[in-house]
Amino acid sequence: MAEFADPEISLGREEESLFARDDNDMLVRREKETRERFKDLVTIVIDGYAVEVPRAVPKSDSQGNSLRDQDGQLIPRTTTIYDAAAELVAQGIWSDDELRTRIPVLCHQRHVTPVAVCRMCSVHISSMKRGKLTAGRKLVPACQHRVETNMVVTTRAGMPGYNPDQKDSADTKVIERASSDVNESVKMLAEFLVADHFHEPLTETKRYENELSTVARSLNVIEPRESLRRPPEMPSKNTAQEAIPKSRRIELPLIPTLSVTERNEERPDLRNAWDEWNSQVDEGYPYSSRTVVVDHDRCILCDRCVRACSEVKPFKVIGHTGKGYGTRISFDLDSIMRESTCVQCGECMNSCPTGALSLRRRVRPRAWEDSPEQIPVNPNTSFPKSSGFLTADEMLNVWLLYESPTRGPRVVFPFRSIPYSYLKWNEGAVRKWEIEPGEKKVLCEEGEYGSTAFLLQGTGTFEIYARAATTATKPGFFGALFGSSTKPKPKKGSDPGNLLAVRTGDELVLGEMTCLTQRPRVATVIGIAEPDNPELTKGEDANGWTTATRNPKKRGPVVVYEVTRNMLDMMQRSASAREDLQEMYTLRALQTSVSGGRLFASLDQVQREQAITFLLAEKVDDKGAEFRRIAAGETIVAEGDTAAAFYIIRLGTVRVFTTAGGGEQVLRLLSAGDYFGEAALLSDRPGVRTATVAALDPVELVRVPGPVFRAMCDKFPALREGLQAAARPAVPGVKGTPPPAVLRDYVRQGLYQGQKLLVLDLKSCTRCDECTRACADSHDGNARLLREGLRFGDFLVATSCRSCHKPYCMDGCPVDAIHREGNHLEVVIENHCIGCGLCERNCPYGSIHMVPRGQANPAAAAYQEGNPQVTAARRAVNCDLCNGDEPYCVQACPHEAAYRKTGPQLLDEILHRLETHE
Amino acid sequence: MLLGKTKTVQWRITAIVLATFGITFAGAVLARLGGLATLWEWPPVPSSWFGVLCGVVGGTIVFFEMAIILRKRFRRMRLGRTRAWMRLHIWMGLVCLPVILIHAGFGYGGPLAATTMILFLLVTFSGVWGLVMQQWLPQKILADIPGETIASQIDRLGEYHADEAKRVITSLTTVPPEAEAAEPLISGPLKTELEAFRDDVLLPYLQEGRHSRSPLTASAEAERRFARLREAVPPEARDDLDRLQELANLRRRWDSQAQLYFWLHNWQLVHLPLSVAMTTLMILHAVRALKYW
Repeated sequence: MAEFADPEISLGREEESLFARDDNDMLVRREKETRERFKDLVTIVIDGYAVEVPRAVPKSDSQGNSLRDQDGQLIPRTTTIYDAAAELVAQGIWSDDELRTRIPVLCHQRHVTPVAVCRMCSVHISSMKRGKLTAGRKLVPACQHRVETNMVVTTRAGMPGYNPDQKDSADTKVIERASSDVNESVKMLAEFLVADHFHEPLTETKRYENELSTVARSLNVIEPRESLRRPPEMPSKNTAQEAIPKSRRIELPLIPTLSVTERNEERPDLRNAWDEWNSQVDEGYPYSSRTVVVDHDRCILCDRCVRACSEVKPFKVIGHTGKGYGTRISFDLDSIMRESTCVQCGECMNSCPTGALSLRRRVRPRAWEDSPEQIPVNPNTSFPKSSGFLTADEMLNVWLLYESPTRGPRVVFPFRSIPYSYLKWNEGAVRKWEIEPGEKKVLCEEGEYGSTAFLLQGTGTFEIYARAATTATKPGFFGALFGSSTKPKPKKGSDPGNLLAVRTGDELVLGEMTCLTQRPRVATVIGIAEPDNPELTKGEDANGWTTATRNPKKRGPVVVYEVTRNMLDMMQRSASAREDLQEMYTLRALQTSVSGGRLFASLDQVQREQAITFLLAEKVDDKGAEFRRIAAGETIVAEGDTAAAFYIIRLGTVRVFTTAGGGEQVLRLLSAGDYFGEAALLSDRPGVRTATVAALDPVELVRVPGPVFRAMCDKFPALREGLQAAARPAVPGVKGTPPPAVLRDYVRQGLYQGQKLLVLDLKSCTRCDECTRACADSHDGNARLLREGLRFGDFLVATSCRSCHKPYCMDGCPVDAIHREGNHLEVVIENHCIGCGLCERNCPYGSIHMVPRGQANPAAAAYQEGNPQVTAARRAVNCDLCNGDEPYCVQACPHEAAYRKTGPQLLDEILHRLETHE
Repeated sequence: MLLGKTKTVQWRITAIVLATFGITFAGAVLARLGGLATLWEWPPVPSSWFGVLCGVVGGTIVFFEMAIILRKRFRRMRLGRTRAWMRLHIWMGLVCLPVILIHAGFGYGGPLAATTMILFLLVTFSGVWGLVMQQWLPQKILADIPGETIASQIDRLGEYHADEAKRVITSLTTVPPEAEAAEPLISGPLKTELEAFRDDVLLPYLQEGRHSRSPLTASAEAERRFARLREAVPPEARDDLDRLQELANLRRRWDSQAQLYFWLHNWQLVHLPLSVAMTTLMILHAVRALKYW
């Protein structure tokens, strides 16, 4: 890096951010990472293990999803030494524990930007300078330091941890000296941190994982020397500095968060437990909020919470205040946490490695509407045994036998990668169901918008049923007159439909698709424990790896863990859990895409099954059908490219357009079940793409390589004929072909997303505002529609919830307050919304509004000194489609002007008017 | 509303007028035929059994017609679709006309009955007038006002646009402190003229519309003034002037929208109070008539 240094440049402080210092303290210009470096591979050696990594990798979010810029291109970030070390783990050369031992980390988390403030990950490097391997003069943080060609890294493991195959050629003296430097430095740092920041826990109840203590123990720092200890006369950083509320928010009451059930006379034990808990955590911690206890004396200023608040979540509430030894984290402009603009999403608490931000109360998962009183907010209170709810410690011990299609059978611990404080906070988010031998249990119903998935322990069979699609019936005379309910009738207890498939208990997970895609469940799942269901027992093999065996001599229950959506999201922060889940998801998505689409419509039943089997199994040059996820805006095939593959869409919408003549002309839209790319492949000569296909929203599709597709068409001639003869509508669900200008507007306005667009026929609408008044009257005075918006033909598409196919509003809700429930389309925002405004920002159509809470908090009113007006300042509101009945806005319109339509229905109406010149 | 939306405005208005007269005529013919068949007296006498029956039927229809107020008031209650109520309101209202005329024996009666009858005819006429307006004006707004907005927000948006206009002209006549240029784009006498145009002509018009008595109210005068200014300013400032003219044009369209709104809704100012007055008098008339029957 020294070659970039320019000693002539004189820099002011404000300019230094453009630069970094190299390992010789020379200022060097920061190089902006480029996508070209994804392919630029470098080899570095860490403790004798060579590993090849690209210079840059795609930046990813906390869920491992690659981030893209406005042009849909991957955002590159520099590959660090720690990334290279993690690659050794991914390759199976090191274990996770080994990595932690060699390169301990405190301030670093892989999903946030490294800041290298704790320096626990310090390593020694030697790099090539003027053609010679030169040892660095100072240690560098592995979490932040970029990889360079031929870099040699020495960690604290030294010669004992050196690659045995390379030991003979290693310079033992140099390595021992380097590792000794690293060890001494890191130990000293750990001792400083422990002396100043390690305290006994507040209570005996474990509420968080103290990573500082774990790292210190691993470095053999048990007791810091006395001279380093913090003098007892020093003031605590928890003393509030002029604790004057500086924010504009109304204070959230601490105690009246208890529900009526918890305060009533039937459960006095819960009230006492909560009072006792509060007396332990509130005294001396004035910066706390109702969710998080803030203890500045434990804080090591690692910046994890600051980055979690600004990178993982978008709130940017946490920063720093003070200087020197008095520096501490602050909320807004040093407000008390509960008075700041913090929405108490808990992300900071989950990322804190020392317990400086720790848990104060549990959340109540929405999934268990049948038994909310069984989950008290006091984390010291146990659950009723019969409820099946698991505590944090029980979650850690949950194990599953997973028969991976690619990696074979193994035991996985799904919750071990989740921060302990998160598990503790969400105790009750996992429910254990046991199906006794000879019994059945319906796990989920087709058509429901579920918010849970089912983790399978390893035994049992699970039957998947689906009903045939039902056609919509027209309302009768009275229905038309009075406006009948559009709410689908619950079909519980009725025939579950046709048996589609039978899954076994070692397939890890069921029902995950509704959680991951926010679409209704596509099948009913019934768990069955056969009378001779074998018991599953956990053990260990000779290498100490956990194993599980089925004991055919003993009968045992089928165990299923029902987990909420947020737990599934957290599980996916771990790369291994993410891979396991994605493996199953991908396999099933591939099967459902191929079997459920319109591709094989021209084949009879027997041929269809043969074709599906062929498509899933056939490989040419070791390449077969593969599942792909495409980000919104990303181009799938480009006009002019050589045709290489055929695509089947599983989820999402794509637009097909040409740029001939300069402007973009949309030719057609394709959605789930459609396919594209066949025309160029079916021509006699290798074809060229005549149009570009790009994703309009996140798309999942199956890519079938051209040779496989051609082989399939050769094998099933009827399929080729069917594809060549197929006449497909320009827009799915629309009979006519819209003119280009109409289709362009249709796409630009996002109308294809709408399942319940509120449209006003401006030819009939007298602008009487009855729709808005009816909405306001039925929703506490807050109208959830605005009689304003874009026009489409003669229609005004009012600003109101569209019930989108892809509900962006639900992405990332920190408390899972926004969702669909039952089998209805309406997007419900629960009363426990914390008012963070994320859904408002996510909605592309401005349909969600943040409003002041209009009603007093009944919990606060019932509390002795509680002020019923003191409550969360605002909450998100959204059109709830009047809970499935005919919406009031439509029912109140006296002029036959207001309708709820799907996007295709609206387009059909416009085309009809264009044809009849109305 | 009355005849669906598949026909032209002209067709629908003609149909409404014809329906009004047709139903009245048909009712009268039916009553005459009944009279010829000696089912009842002809000409009908209000105090005869047939006249009272028509009065009761007419009164019931009037009560039903008034019930739409309650339907609109209690929007939260699921009392059937308002469009179904409105449809019945219109058809029953039209049917009510011949029924009441027959009840009255095609005459006015005493002072109370005559007043009630006159109010009834006015209510019916205003209702038909309103129905005609509702067929015609929504389509006219759709065609003539492309930048239509919520009528109650026009003055607010006018203020917003006035602020924008102020900023545009200020950017032409002053130099911001951080700018490198020493001279504004427009200075000297032209600056004074532009600022006078802003303060005396443009801003009052954007804020108050046609009530401001600004010369910009007239489209031709506005065009002339902007054209003159456009010639006077440097070419770099012409885009800004175009924007100012666009704001003025938008305000003019909104003024037109407000006028159309007035005609679209003003009939209710007649229809509703007269309906209440007519119903009150009708009750008095019924009580008095039954008392002395």
